[in-house]
Amino acid sequence: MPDILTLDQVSKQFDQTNVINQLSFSVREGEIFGLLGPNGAGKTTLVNIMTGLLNADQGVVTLFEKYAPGDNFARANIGCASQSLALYEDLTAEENLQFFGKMHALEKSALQTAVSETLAVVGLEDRATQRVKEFSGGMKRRLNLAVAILHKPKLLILDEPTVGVDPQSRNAIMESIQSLSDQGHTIIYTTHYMEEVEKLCDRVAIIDKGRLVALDSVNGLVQEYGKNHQIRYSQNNKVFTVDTDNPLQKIRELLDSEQQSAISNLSVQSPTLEQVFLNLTGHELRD
Amino acid sequence: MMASKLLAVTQKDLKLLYRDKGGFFFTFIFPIIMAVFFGSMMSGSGGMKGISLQVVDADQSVISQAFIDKLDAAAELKVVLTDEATARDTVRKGKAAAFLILPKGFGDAKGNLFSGETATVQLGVDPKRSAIKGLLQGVLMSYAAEDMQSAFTDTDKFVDQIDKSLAEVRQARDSGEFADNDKADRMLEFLDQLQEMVDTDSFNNTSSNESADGSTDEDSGFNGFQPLIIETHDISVNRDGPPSGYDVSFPQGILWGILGCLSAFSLSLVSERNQGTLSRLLVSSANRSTILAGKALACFLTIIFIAVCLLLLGKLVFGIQIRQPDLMLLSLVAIGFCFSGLMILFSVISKSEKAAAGITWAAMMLMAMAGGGMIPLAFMPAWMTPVSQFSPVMWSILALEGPMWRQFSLVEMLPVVAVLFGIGIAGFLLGVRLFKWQSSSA
Ligand SMILES: Nc1ncnc2c1ncn2[C@@H]1O[C@H](COP(=O)(O)OP(=O)(O)OP(=O)(O)O)[C@@H](O)[C@H]1O
Ligand SMILES: [Mg+2]
Repeated sequence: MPDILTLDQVSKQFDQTNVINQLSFSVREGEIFGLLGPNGAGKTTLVNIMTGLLNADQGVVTLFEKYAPGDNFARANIGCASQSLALYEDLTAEENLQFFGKMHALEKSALQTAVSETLAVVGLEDRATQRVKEFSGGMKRRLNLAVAILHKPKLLILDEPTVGVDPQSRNAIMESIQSLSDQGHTIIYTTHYMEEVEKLCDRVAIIDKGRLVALDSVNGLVQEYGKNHQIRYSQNNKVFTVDTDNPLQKIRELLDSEQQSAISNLSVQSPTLEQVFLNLTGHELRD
Repeated sequence: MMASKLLAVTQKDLKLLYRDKGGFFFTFIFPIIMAVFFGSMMSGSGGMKGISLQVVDADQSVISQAFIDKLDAAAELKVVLTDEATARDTVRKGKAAAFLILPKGFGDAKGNLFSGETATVQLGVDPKRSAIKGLLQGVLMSYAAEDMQSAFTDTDKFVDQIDKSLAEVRQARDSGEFADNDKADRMLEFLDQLQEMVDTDSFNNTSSNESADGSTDEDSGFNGFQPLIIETHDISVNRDGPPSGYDVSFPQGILWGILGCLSAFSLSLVSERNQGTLSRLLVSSANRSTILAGKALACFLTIIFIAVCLLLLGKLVFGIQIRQPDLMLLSLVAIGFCFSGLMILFSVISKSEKAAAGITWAAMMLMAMAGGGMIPLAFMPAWMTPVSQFSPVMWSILALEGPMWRQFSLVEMLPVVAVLFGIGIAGFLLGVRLFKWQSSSA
C-alpha cells in the first residue's frame, strides 16, 4: 500500500516553544490511523498542519505522494472534522451540507444525493430542515462529521469526532467510520477514548509533547509496552490491585499465603492500551 | 466552477444576514428611521457657524475690498476669494455653502450712499443648505448697514451728503434721467424727511436703533431703501425650488444603511473565524480570493438593495427627486463597490468580534462625521473640510446627490465615481493580500 501522508522531521513552534518536535511517520492508504496523546500533545496542531491551515516551521509534509498541504489537489481530496464544531448555526443541517458541498465543487444532482446519503449516515435525516442552533451537542457533532465526509474524500481527518456524544451516537459514528474505511477511505483518527482506538484503528501513533513516543498496531503496542498485568482481589472486604509483569508467580504467592482463605474475587487483567498510554506518557496532569 | 463557489458564498452570507435579527435591523430598518427622522428635522432650520462663502470681487475697488475684509473678519463666515465660474461650481458641487458676487460698480454705488443706486450683490446658496439662506442675507445686510451707520453718525458729513444728494436727485429727475419717477419721488421725500430728522436732533438715536436690528426689514423706517440689494440665486438648476429636507436626509440614510451593512459583513468574516467555519472553507477546494469575493458580492448586493429601497421609499412617499436615474445607477454601483471593498479590508484586519466592531464603528463614526453623514458639512469646523476629502461617505453622498438634484453631468460624475471605485478596489486588493499573507505566516 502506498503512503497517503508522510511527515518528515516536522516541527512547529508557538512562542518559541516546540509544539511539534521533529515528527516523522507515514499513513498508509486504506488504514485507520489512530493519533493518541494527552491534552496539549499537539494533535490538533498536527491536524492543522496536515490540512494546510498551519505551516510547519521545519520539515516536509507530503500528501498523496506528491502534494503539499493546501495544494488544490490536496484540499479537494481531504475531508476534515475539526475538534471545535464548525457549522453555521443559523442555517439548517441540509443548508450547511449543501453549502460545504458546493465549496467542494459538487454539482446539483450529485450534491443532492450526497446530502441525503450523508444525513442518513449520521442519522439526521429527520432533522434536515432544522436550524443547527436548535441541535443538541451530540447532533451538532454528528453534523460536523457529516460535513467532513460529504464529498467522499480520499483522506478523512477526524479530530475527536466523538467528544460529548452519548454511547448510541458514538456507536453510530464508529460504525459509519468503519464503513467508510471499508469503502477504501483512509482515516486519521484522533481521540482520548482507548476503546475506540482498540476497536477501530489499524495502527496507532502515541505522541506526547510534540514527539512521537510509539507507533504500532494496538496489539504490537500492548505486547511491547504493556508490561504489567493487573491482579485484583478482595480480602477482608477490602479491594486490592497489584501490578506485575509475572501474574502467574504473583497469584501463586497470594494463594500460598497464610490468609489465602480470606481472598475472594480474584481477577487478572492483561495489559491494556490505556496502560500502555499511561506508561508512555506518564501520569501527571496536562494543560 | 469558481463562479459557482463564489455565488454559494454570496447566497449563504445573504441568508445569514437575513436570519440575523440584529444585522437585519441595522442594515434595513435603522437607515429608514434615520432618513425619515432627519429628513423631517432638516425641513426646519438651525443656527450655524463658519458658513463657507465663495466671494467673487468683480468690482476690484477699495470699497469692495473693504466690504470683503469686513465679511472675512466676521465669525459667521469663512470667506474664500475666487472667480465666478469656480465659485458657482464649488457651491453646486456642495463644497461651499454659498457664493457672493460683488458686481462691477459695487464700489461706486456703495460709496455714494444717496446716488439713487443701491449696491447690488448676488448671492447663491447651496439648496441643500437653504436653511442658511435667510441667515446669510441677514449677515450681509447687517455688515452693509454698519457701513451706512458709520456714514450717518458723522453728522456734518451726513448733512453735506444729504444736501448733495438732494441736489443730484432733483437735477436727475428734472432732466428725466429716472425711468421710474415714483421711485425718484419716494427718494426725494425720504431725503426731505431725513433732513427734518437731522434738524430735530433726534437722528442719532433712531438711526442707531434701525441699524442695530440689521436693517433687513424692508418695511421699516427706510422705506424702499436698503443698504444692499441681495439678488439670490438658486444654485443647481433646480427651478422647482430647493429640495426638501428629505432630499438631504435620504442619501444620508442610505449611507447609514451602507455603514450598517459594512459592519454586519465585516463581522461575518470574524465570526466565521471564531466559529471555525472559515477554517473549514480554507481547507475546502475554494480559493481564498473566491471566498472574499463571494462575501464582497453579498455585501455589494445588499448595499444596492438598501439604496434602491430607500430611494424608492423616498421618491414614492417623501417626494425626493431623482433626475438622472441612469447616473444614479452608476453611482450606486460605485458606492456598492467602494464599501464592499472596504468591508473586505476591515474584516480581514479584525481578529476578534470586538476588534471588528471597534474598527468598523470607529471608521464609521470618522467617515460619517468627516463626510457629512451626521452633521451637514456646512456646520463643521473649518479644519474638518479637508479631512472630509478622504471620507468615502463624503464622496458617496456627492455621488447620490449628483443625479438627484445637483444635476451633475456625466463628466462631473466621473471623478466622483472614479474615487469610489478606486477606494473599493484598493480595499479589496489590500484585503485579499493581507488574507493570503495571514495564512502563509500561520
Ligand atoms: N495558536 C496557538 N498559539 C500558541 N500556542 C498554541 C496555539 N495552538 C496551540 N497551542 C499550544 O500548542 C500545544 C498543543 O496544542 P494542541 O491543540 O495541538 O493539543 P491537542 O493535542 O490537540 O490537545 P487536546 O487533546 O486538548 O485537543 C498546547 O500547549 C497549546 O497550548
Ligand atoms: Mg486537540
